[in-house]
Amino acid sequence: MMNLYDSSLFFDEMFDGNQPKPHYRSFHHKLSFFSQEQLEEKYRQAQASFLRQGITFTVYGAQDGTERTMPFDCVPIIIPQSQWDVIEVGVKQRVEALNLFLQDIYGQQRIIRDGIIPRHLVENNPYFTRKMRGLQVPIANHIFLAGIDLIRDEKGDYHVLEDNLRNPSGISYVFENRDVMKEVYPEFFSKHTIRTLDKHMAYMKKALLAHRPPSMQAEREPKAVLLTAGMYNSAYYDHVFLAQHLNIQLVEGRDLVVQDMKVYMKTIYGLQQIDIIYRRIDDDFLDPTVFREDSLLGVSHLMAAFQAGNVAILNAIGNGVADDKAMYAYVPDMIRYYLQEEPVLPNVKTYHLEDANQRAWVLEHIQELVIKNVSASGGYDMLIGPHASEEEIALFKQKIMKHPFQYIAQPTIKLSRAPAFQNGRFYPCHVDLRVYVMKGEDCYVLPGGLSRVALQEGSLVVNSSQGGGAKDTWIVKEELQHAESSSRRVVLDGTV
Amino acid sequence: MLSRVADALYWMARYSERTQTNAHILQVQLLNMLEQSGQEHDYIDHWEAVLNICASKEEYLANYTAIRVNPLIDYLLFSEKNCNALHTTLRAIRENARITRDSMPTELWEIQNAFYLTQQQDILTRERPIPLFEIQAFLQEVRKTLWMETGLIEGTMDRDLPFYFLQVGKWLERAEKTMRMTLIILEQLKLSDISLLEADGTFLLELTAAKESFLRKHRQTNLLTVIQYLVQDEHFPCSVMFCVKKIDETITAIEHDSFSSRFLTLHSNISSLVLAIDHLDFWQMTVVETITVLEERLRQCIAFSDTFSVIYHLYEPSIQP
Repeated sequence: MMNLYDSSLFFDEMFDGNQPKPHYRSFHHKLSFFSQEQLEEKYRQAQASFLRQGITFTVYGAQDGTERTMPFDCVPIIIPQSQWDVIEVGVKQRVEALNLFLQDIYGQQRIIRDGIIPRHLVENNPYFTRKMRGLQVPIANHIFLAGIDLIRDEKGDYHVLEDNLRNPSGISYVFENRDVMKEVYPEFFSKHTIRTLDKHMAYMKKALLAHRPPSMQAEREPKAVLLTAGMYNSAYYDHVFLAQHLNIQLVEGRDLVVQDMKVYMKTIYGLQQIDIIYRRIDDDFLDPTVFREDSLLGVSHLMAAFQAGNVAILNAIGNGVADDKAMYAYVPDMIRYYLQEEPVLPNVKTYHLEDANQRAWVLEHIQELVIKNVSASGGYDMLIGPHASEEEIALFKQKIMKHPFQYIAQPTIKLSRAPAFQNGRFYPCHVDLRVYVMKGEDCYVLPGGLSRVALQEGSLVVNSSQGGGAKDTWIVKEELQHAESSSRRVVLDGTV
Repeated sequence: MLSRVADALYWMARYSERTQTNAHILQVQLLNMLEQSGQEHDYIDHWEAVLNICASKEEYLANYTAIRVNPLIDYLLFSEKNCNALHTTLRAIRENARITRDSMPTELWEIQNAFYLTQQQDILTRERPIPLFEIQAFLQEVRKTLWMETGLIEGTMDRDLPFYFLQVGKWLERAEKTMRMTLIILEQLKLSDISLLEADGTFLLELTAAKESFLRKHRQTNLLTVIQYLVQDEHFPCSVMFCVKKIDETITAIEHDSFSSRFLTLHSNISSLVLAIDHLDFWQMTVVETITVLEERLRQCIAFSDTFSVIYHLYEPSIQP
């Protein structure tokens, strides 16, 4: 069924030459039994299932709040357990160090005094929130949910591409992709032992409720809510899913009110105090009396309630200072500084363009590099040197000269590829992996995460707003994988 | 429960009920008109009644030149100018369901969402005028989908606050609609010299989907008996009495404490409405008097819905067409 492609150009998740890798053999074998028509029919079923359930994102700027499903691809990313163990340790280490960094820069700023991170990089950062200086966050944790984006280079080594410590979205897709995969492609699951996602919502809830605000009485059970921007937000489905599965109320800013520096939600029986807000709106919009005055999404005086220790806000305010693309380059140093450990997962080499030497080198080699705006996300304001036209390159050179602080440069990594089945055929697509880390008293990593795939052939942009799709991600236990491969030779009737 | 969510559930139920009734009324009229000529009084009267029940005749005439089928269909089904056009109320149901999807059975949201994304979008993109039999089929699908949802609500929802707020919305909308339909027919009758006993109530029975049930119990279809049935019958689920009693039951279920000020206020309002309906004696009334007392009951009903919204801190409906 699957027409082979030249898998030697990039690291391929599934193939070594024209043979599937050991952890993909069983899947590949199953796949070969399907006809083109069956696969196309299943593809239609899967997309219809997402649409029916309303697992959609709203396309900004599109007419009438157009809703789209994220294209789903049936070929999963399979990661052997031993490889996953390394990733798990690596992302936990990273989140631990990033949290200590946030705790430090809003506290004593030792890392700046010790000359590890330049002061201007912190203080000139638009996400550095001076109002957070000296404030204690519950259980000294700034990062309740992190999304760490990983890529693989041409050798198959994992690198961290980006840390998302503000409002990483997409966790619902991990669960829904698995559900749709089980519903539409049950055949693929036999003969695999896959790490289940079932317990992780309970872990997430435990981590959430651990953030008791300091002024809360010990005997009270904390009341948590999820604050959404509303149903026209692009990630509304994510919010609905999390509120449902964490069993907490989904609220909008207009449902909350602050009185006597305590936060209440407006219920049919009057006001009810709440203690923990898992907010999915940006810092700027949280409190119009402190941040953007024109915000209609936030709650007036929320910051005062937080400062009084009457409410926990997750993820903490001001996390953006740790996850922007300029600070990213320093994360390995943070790991060494705070944890006295070597980073388990390396960064992608990053050039800082405010440095005259690095800038000169980058401008000379711009055609081989990727240029990113440190404040942008979603693949916007980005130049991929090898694919760019002369005009685009000239434009970015101008932008860099004008605002060197605003941009970083990275080498173009030959992103790994995996086969995808779209429009009736298999072809190789570049992929990345967002790994979700939940942190309360303990730290949990969702096994697998969201594999994002650039479905436009040759494209490197995996973001859903720009034609990206998603795949299920399987962590397979190897010992059973081996047992499976030996049992594959024995058929139940005794023939071999 | 959040006030905003309670409000959205309440309005979802109201729009759902309104959509079902309007779809039914349109089905009835699109069939009836086939036997009438465009010049006849009945044809004009019936369309005017339908216009006033489902939207507004004045608004229609401000936007269209004459009472003709295709513009009427356009106005009542699709027009953005009509806040009660079927397409608009269907969208309002779905938007309210989207806000409250964590308070309702998943299947309920999925049925509504699937209908909106497939059949509703499909008919919007059809070339106009759409053939009558296809309009009829669409209206039937609308009603079937909403019946299915009603069944899901009844059969699968916990008897808890979200369920009860849906119920109050449904019964209030239904009671008001039955009264409005009756009043509009009476207003038309007022212009003639015919008494309630002489006038025929078949059209009203058809509009209220009461014909089958009524004819099992009564032989005469004079307007007086029909109105008596629609207002006072205790067993017919669209009668005003039936709906109001259901609201009373629901209030009792929402408020466990029968001495709470919320319960006492709502219960006394609804009890006085039950009593007032019970005491109506249509045999002794002229058409004008009947209109007056029914208008008074309708005002009571609306006042109750305002009190209900105030007591439970319901917001101004945010997702109204």
